[in-house]
Amino acid sequence: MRLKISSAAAIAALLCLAAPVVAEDGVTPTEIRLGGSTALTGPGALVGIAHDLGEKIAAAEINEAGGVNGRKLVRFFEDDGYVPARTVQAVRKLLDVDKVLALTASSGTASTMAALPLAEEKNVPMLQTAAPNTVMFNPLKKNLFVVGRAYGPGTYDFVKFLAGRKSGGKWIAIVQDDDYGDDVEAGYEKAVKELSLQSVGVLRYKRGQKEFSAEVLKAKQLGATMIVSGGIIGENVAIAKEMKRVGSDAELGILWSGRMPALIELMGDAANGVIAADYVGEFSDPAGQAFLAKAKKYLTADELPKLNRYSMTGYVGVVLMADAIKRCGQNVTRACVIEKLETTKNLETSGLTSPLTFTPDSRISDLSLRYTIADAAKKEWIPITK
Amino acid sequence: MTLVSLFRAGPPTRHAHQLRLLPSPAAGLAVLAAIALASALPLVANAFVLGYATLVTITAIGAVGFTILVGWTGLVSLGYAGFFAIGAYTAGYVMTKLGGSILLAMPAAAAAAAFASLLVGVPSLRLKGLYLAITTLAFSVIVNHAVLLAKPVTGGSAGLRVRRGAAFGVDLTSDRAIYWICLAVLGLSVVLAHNIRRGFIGRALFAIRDYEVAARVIGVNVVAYKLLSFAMSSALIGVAGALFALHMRYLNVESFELILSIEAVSIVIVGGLGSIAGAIMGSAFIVLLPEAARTVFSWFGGTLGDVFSSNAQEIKGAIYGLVIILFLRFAPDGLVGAIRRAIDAAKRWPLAY
Repeated sequence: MRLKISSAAAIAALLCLAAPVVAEDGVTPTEIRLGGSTALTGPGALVGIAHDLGEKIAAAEINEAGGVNGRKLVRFFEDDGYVPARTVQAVRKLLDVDKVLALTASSGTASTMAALPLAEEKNVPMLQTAAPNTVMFNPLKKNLFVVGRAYGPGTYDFVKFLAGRKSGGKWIAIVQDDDYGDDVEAGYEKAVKELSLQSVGVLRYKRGQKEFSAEVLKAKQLGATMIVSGGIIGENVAIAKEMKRVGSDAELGILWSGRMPALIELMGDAANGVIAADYVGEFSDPAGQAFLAKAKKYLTADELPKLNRYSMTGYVGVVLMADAIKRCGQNVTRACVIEKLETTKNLETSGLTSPLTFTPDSRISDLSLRYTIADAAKKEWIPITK
Repeated sequence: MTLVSLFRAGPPTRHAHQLRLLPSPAAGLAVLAAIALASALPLVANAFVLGYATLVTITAIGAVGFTILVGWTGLVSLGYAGFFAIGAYTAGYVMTKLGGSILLAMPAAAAAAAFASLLVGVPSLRLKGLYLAITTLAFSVIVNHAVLLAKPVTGGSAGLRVRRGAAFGVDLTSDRAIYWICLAVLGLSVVLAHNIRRGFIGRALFAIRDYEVAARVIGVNVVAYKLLSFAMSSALIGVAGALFALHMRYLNVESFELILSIEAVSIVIVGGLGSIAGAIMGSAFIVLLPEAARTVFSWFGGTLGDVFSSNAQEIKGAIYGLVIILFLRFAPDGLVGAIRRAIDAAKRWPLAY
């Protein structure tokens, strides 16, 4: 019996040796396939197209420099229209038809969470660089890495910055009635308490709300001189325009989600003086200028006007993924990429963000914030800090 | 009744004709072939195609349910998204928070959606047409807000991750298993709906749809049957929602927007109002339309192809509108009617009549 078992073990060992090495999906001797799914059409296209272009620049730059350990990066991008059900279909295609190694882009929180079970099933490394929502990294998800600044700590930093610019006055926050709003409110309340600011309240608005006259009038009645908005794009435009209409002389501070040139155009004159916090830089600063030079090299003339902050987040995502893949050497597997991602330490992103760091216990690279002020005449965000 | 009699053709005036499940032996063979092909699909299709097939199947289950209310009872509803969401979240809660299987989650979803439909149905009994449509639309909006507020149950805006689990010791984590479950449920839904339509309940619903006063005169309890129609329809839509939860594994309020209700209306119109086969065909048509449009436009090549293929989703609404207008103008009885006319024409050919 023992002899039989030994023989069987020997045969099995020989078969194992003789069996061909099965390569990881998305890895060939000459290329590495990366996938992404964002909104390339519909209202979210402003974000998705810019993100796609940022990835395109990064991939072209890396490939021109010889690729990742000699392998070219090949990108596959799907349009999910910012609809979670379509994200799932898109990710299925990316994983099963295009056979990508990793996912570098996903529209937003809902889309990322919808795609996550598919990615977890196949242990696919996944990045989220556009919407650093707490639900994505707390509790920790093994294969999902978030680049950005968590909304709670981000709001806390932002309020501290604003308070440092102008002391005194009355503060108010307008936040969405969801988890994102909860995070913003928590950061705001923490800063108000620590800095002993005079807060006249927190106003919550309904998700999808388009009209903000009640909130802005309330803020004016309460004598608010600083409004911290937890709006995204349409909400911030409506709040700024309403402030101008009712003659509010309060300052408006917004978070990064809507910090795009298009926001200034939509706000018109009301944009003047709006202060924004962001974890990526602005095109007018030196790192932004260098990024624009790369964009001019690798993009077409039609594509250049579509760039915005999300192009930088897309670029940073590919740089991060390429770094992890590179550190795997020639034996690139999904498990290895995840392992290398979680040991990323102080990775430079050409100055577009502060250096990226992850640990086995943390899936968010909490980046430091930069601040800009809107100039309606120039239709630009002007940096106010280095 | 023998199996043969079910498929036997006969003159429309005979009672046996009205009891048949299928109009002809040829239709029976076509159905069997379709079942065989649909069952074998997971053996040859990749996960992407299988994902779409599963979505079509789930949509078809909901559309069959929606047909009972809109097609047979004549009650125009825009509450599809609301009932679908109730079914999905109920199933998600049962499977994830209570640790139940899909076999427990589906009846729970059906019961929850049916109960909710009664809450909407009772105050809506005196409403018809546009008024009922607006009431049910308001219901969907309320459900969306309730989902956001009921955080311990639904996960609020953060959403709810759904655990698939197992049933009868069978692993349900594979996409193939999910597809076959959906296909089996669709089959059961179709048989159930057929039986409802052939029986007294179906006749009563048709009577209400065609002339409510006359139905009341001949002894149909209009209140009871309208509520029953609401409950049956919503129960099936709830089951579709449960399977959607199982398929997606993550629920978020953004998956249950108004467009879902618009799609449901499009499906029953395009398929053929009141037809079960039409509901299935309409589901396939509407679910696959954006992807098909993108593929077709990409064939044009050049700038035109780029514009169309990259904006297919953006012009999805326009395509829906155009398709509905074309169907209402040229084939008001939908895909089913168009196919029926084509078969009749083929039988008569070369004669015109």
